[in-house]
Amino acid sequence: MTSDESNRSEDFGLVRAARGGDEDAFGELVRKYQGKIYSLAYSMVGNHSDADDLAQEIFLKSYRNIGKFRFQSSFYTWLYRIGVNTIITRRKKLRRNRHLELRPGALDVEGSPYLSPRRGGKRGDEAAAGRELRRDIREAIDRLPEKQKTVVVMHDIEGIPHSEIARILKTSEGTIRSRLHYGRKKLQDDLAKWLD
Amino acid sequence: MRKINSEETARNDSRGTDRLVKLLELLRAARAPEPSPGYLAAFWPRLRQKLPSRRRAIIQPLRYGGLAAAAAALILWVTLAGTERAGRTGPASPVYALATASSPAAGERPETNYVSGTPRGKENDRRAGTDYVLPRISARENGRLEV
Repeated sequence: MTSDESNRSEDFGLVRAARGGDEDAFGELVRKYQGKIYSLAYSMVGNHSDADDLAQEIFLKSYRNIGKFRFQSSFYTWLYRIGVNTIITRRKKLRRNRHLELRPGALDVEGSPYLSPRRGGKRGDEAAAGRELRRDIREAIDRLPEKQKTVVVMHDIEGIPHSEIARILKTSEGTIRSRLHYGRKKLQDDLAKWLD
Repeated sequence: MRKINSEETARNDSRGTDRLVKLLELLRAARAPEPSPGYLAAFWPRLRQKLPSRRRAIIQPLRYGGLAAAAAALILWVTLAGTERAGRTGPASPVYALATASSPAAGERPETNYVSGTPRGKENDRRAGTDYVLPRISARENGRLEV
């Protein structure tokens, strides 16, 4: 049995126990995936407060719907699907209410060599350049159409493989690659001043 | 000429690859900062408090069922029995009050038999249990009003 298979069957066991009312079993699943779900939410919304709120909501939804899990995909795929749908719905609400925030220090790009256009000045200038870069990245990601943004975040930021994203979003790998291509192209145009 | 073109294409390709590599590096830097161990440790206990308990999962549907049944009974009562009762004034004619036909004194007839503008029964119908609308003041004066 490979580690993937053993992981999957371990998750299935925990899901069965959770369906039987064992909260501790569900807690195991939460502990196992909370970091990944939080990270996905953070990459999509860009601030800790909303990401934390979303992560809690995603697990709550999965608990309420755990009876609907059919054991046809991995628990991880199913959980991510709930996650992506929840985040997209919330982002639509957020977009209506306010512009997305960027928590100071959220994006650790201080060590990036691409600060070069602004480097060479005082420390204050560097910090300002870092802030500007973070803001530009965040805004560029945020301007992407929802489908492209989801794929760019999942693949280029979270490092999820194409095949897994295709399973999560219930679409083909070709579609995922195409969305990624167009998303990256838009980002390159939007972030041109940091790339050239 | 062809050589120049191919060199230019190669240069463009290399520039495109370079830009993509730079972009990917920037995006990777946009990853969420690692949550603190304290945050991760508190995540599940906070979530656990929000989980619907099994007791609540059983009681909640019953509670909603009870509310739904009460609402249905209220709607049914309003539809069938209505709110027309002896002594009540109608919203359309607040100066009139309902009295039953068995109450009027012998020889007297109700002045009108309209309830909220809707004709109800015949003017001289005095069967027991038939509702009539009497002017509130005269009904009180006659002592016939059942309030």
